[in-house]
Amino acid sequence: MKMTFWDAVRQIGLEECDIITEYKAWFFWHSKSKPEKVIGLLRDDRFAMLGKFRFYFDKILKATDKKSPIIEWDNFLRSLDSEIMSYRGGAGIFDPGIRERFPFVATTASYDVALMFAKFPDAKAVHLPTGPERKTYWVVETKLLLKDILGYRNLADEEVWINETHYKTAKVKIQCKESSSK
Amino acid sequence: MIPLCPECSKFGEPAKLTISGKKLMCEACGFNYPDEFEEIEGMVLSKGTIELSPKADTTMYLKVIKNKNAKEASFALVETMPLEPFKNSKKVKEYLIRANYEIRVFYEDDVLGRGKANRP
Repeated sequence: MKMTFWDAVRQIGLEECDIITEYKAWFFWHSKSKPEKVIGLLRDDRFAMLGKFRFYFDKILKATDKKSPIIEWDNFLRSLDSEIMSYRGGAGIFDPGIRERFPFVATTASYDVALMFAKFPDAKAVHLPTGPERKTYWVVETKLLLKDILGYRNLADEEVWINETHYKTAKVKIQCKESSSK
Repeated sequence: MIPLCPECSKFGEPAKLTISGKKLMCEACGFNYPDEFEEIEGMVLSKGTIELSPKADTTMYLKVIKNKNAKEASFALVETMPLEPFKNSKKVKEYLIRANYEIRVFYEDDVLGRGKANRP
């Protein structure tokens, strides 16, 4: 039997008040005002499953209607073993051994978003490609299974949290150095 | 009330909400707000707990911007006079407002010509 997005949320064991908790945690993470709130999401298996389900809904099904019964729960469970890609962009030289403050590396499901963050120094602040453009930047891609992502929400930049072990396997897609760009 | 949907508002984008009975729902994604709400003269009201993290130099109020037809009343959250709290002679860098709230809407005299306040 097919279910709606909201049926699936309940199947995971979450309710509307939990969606508010999740939204606040992601919002405070982006605004850097209370980034530690995301720890609560990482420790809760239900929110971890919700992130995987959101990725499945947005990126694999490419669905947008959350009110229509379009979800086959068994198909979602099978998709947990499918390979997905995540991307990250930055300045200078790519460092696969980066140590983050929190136990995950923030990547994105969109190559274009990663490229925007790589090229424009203030992209994170404004989410718009405003200049000046960086002369040195990189974009990497990581291949992993859907079940291995730690979190996903699309608050504008299709952010995917992956663990450092997976990030170390990232392949460089673009490494733009100042000398080669001249 | 800030018309924001925790499911589909991206970085504070306002959402279009609709009320049915005591339930408040986002028209775009179908998110059901967990508390009970009621509509009085076109206004959606609720009681609960709210957390705000305003910038240090602003305070906010809810302003009626359109109320000719009660069913189409709309409101805006407006920044107003600077508010710069001090503690032990030191300027507070940032602060969090945490309070139980009840929204009361005060009409502007020149909009409706009803006298001072009209509390639903």
